[in-house]
Amino acid sequence: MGSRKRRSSSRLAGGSSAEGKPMEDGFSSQLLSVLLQRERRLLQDLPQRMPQGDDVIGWRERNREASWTCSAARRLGLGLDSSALAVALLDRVVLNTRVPSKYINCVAAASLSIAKKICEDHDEDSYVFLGRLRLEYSASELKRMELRILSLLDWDAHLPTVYRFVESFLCQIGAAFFLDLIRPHVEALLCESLLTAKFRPSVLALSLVSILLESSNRQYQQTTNAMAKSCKIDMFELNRCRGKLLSLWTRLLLPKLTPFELLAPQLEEGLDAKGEQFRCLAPTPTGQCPAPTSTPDLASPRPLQPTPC
Amino acid sequence: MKRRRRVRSSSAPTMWGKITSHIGIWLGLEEERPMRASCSLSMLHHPQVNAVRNSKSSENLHRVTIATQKSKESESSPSSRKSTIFTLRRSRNKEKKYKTNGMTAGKSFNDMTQSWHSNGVNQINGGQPQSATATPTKTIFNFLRPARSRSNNANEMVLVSSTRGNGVAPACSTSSTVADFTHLRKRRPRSAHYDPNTITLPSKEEMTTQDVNDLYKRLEKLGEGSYATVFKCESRLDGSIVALKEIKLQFQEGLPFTAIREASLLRTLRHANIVCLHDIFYQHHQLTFVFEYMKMDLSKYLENNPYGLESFQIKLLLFQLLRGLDFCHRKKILHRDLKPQNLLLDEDGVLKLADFGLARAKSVPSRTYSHEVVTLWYRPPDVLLGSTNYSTQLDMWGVGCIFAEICIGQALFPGTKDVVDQLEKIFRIRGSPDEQKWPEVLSLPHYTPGTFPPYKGLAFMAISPLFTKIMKSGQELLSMFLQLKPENRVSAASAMLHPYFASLPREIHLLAPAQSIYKLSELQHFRHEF
Repeated sequence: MGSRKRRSSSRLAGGSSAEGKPMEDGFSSQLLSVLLQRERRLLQDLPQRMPQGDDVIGWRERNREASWTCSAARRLGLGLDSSALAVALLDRVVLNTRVPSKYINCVAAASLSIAKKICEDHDEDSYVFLGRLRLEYSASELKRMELRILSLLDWDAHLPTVYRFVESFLCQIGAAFFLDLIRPHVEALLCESLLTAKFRPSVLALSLVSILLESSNRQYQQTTNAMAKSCKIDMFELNRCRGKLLSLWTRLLLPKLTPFELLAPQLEEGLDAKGEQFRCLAPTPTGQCPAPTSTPDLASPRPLQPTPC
Repeated sequence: MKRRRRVRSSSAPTMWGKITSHIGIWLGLEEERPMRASCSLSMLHHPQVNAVRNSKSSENLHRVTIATQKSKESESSPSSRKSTIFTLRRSRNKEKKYKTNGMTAGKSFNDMTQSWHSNGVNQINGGQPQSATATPTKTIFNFLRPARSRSNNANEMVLVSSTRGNGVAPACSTSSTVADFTHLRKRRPRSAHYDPNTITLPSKEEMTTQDVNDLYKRLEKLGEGSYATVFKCESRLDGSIVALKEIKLQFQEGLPFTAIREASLLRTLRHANIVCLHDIFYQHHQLTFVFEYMKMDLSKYLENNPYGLESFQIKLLLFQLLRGLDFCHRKKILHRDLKPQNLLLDEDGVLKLADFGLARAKSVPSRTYSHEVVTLWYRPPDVLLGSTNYSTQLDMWGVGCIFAEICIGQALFPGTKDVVDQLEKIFRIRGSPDEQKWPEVLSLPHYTPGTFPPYKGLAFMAISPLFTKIMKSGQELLSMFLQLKPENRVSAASAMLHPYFASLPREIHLLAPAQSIYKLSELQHFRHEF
């Protein structure tokens, strides 16, 4: 037991390339500490509430645009890191300034454009980007909005996002393969302001990783505790976040059956199979392996169009 | 049931708002606006808000304060609008109209903000003005806005803001203005495009408070590229010398990704061996980065030294390069464009990494990147063969090329034609890839077995006798950088611990990131050699 604990803690410490070994590709704990440091600093001057006022957007509009951002990123073939960064940029803008509801989609589009430019290697012209998203803004308008956002953020756009934390947590425990499977789960999280406004990205990420571990490994608690300790995350806060995250996933990712499907006796078998498939996604304490390969895509609540005023 | 409610909640208020807005317009009732959208319910859960009335009407959240002359000044000052991303353009007639009213629109909003967020407000009483002393110097009168309230029952309790403890600023304190667009509602366009009559993005000139030409005097042009021009400038404030990188923006194109990356990454990279970005300006369709001034780049310095540098200079420069790069790699940032032109030198011989336009944060190994990175001469063989799954090892090949170049005064792999020619030059010196030692090479897109002759590779001394300057240990380190298989390349942190650097003082490994190596007394007499 003791040796296992030692082994896990040494693994969590990360193999730094400074040890004189050939270069390792794994994420070191140093990256995590850098992310945590930056998160702490950025949260210091971030208001916890949205600015209020007439015709100023609220959390509902924020959620809608976050959802639009995620679906737009999928349409463009962008990675989850781009989606997460775009939503993080959007959040910082809406929390730091008043955004009239008329402009919120433009802010979301500009956030996505900035995130794409930071995270993706394959650059494309603005008008191509706007055309692919069927947006009516001009390239000049997009550029101006990008500049406004960047100046608001003091050009510090490479924010520590939930995804970056999840990535570093999973890489530390050698479970990076999960990253390809959790896109719907992370997107569901990003689109829910009840979670993102309440918990830090690191707490959200660790909760997510903890649930993933729970679904695949009975020893998840030790690893979670070790990571929480290394990141100085309060376990009470973590458990609260885990509970909320689980209920969100249950609400959004479990199959939605119509009354006809529920009542139809002949479909019973098929429904059971379907239900079983998704039950794995919301992990049980018994710990079953997740089967998220056929998880449903999160549907955008609105088509890809600018916000009507 | 829950689901149905959720769906309705996202669309219904918008629709209802539109319908009531249009009915109001048709009936000419818009100015009075008997109904208005609720504030976010999140405000109700604010810790500094006490519910003293059952009504959840958002109208009760708002109070109007007739403020003193001071608040009027604050309204007109630019700082009051600083936190809003969007400014309101209001016609003079409208302004006059609202100024003549007892409760002026523009003023009342500022006042309203002060009232709502001010620490001295405790209670509001049934729509009657009541004086309350917020601070010893300022008297604030609070009003309930009866016309805006959905509920007309004056006996109902209201939501009030209260300060707890030592007057902590309320959560919404950042919004210095709360603009009401009610009087503009009739004219608000239906499209999402910017309308100059209503609210717009500020014009480009408004975005910078100061003109860059007022702050800096241009002295000379340092260089020009397709993307930017660099000037040597003098600060008009303190006389310091800086380098201004001016990036011209095309009118119809977006912001260049190189500028966004460079600015975002350099904001977080503060190190003695990484160039410092002081400030950013945007004006006249041009983005200006203010960097610290560096005397020259390594490429120019090498032009003056065709047979390479002295052995101790090589050691110091290589160590500084590794130090800066290690700092980036520890933050999982890949430079991806290492070459002598991007390594700057100051008068003391301090080397700094510059041009982070192609840099990016390294993601998980499964993520693929562009293989069209790094100037051809400094591009590693795996990337030349089409690998898109690289990591920090990409930069280490470049370090090896630069190390060799500062030894012998010329590039080690100066490809002249294309990728094949570049690979040919590499394999001739380092040997052709051994599929048994490097089996992954078979899966690289541009690799075909038998394309290149089976080169065995050459010893560095056979290439140039100038390699004797770095002794055997230096050649060994060079060989560790220039490994064909990326996983075999030494990391920046490990390289700094190589015996080649044994002659440097031990304290060099203990320096803080912001400290230069020339801070050490043992190295101070080498600082004026450049």
